[in-house]
Amino acid sequence: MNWYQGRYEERLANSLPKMSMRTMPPELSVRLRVLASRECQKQAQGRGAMARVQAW
Amino acid sequence: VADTAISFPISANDLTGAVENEDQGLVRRLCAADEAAYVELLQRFEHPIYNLVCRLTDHPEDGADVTQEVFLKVFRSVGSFRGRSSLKTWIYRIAVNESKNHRRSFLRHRKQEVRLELAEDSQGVAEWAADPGPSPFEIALDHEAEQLMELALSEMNPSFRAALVLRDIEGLAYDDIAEILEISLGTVKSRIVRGREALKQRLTAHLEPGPHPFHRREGVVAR
Repeated sequence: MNWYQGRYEERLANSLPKMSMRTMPPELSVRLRVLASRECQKQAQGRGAMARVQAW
Repeated sequence: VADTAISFPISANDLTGAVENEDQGLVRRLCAADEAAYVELLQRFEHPIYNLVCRLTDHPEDGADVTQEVFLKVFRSVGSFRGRSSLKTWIYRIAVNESKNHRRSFLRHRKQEVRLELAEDSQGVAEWAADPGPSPFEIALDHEAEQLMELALSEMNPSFRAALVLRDIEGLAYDDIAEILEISLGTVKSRIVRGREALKQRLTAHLEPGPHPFHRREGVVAR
């Protein structure tokens, strides 16, 4: 391995903790919020049903 | 990576306690079907989880689908979160397991599929569109370094890769990594050391000078 290659490797190893964040596709963000809203409604319905059962 | 010392007078216990309370509050609101809590959870974790999943699956183009699966599991099982670990550790564990399942499923079912999208190294329209201006040498070099690093990471053994990504990119503590990967502290340390060694070997292999294009043509005989 020559001097340049050694220095280059060192540079790469140092860059590991600084790897940039990948940009999340905007449509994923939308999908996740739709999912969150749906799951939240299900959770609310489940809690409502549980409250009714307890009231009986 | 040097750990950053906290200079203001807050003890580690105070800090852990604050994070725990914040986690518990968020979990309580999630269980109470508070929609704002769902959005808050996404704001805190969607970007790091997407990044983690892209690096742990062998096919980053599937990162969006795997991320969605992770959050579906988080939303549906948040009631079973007991606070034995931090919320972050718990969500990261789900992400690591989901990435592992995705890799297995890909190997089992989708290996034979042929993709119709552009080749991975193709930039599409960017290949022939005019360059808006000269880019500085350092930016180009960093970009190239990062691409090489991503390539080397993607070629590593998935167990070593997971430990290395969680430690050296996500900056998590060894005991958090042990909890996330459900392995002992000793195994975490050993996987990180072996992972760094494997990464170094991969990088060395990628930096070996390849045959010159002119020399490659020498063996070609015109028909």
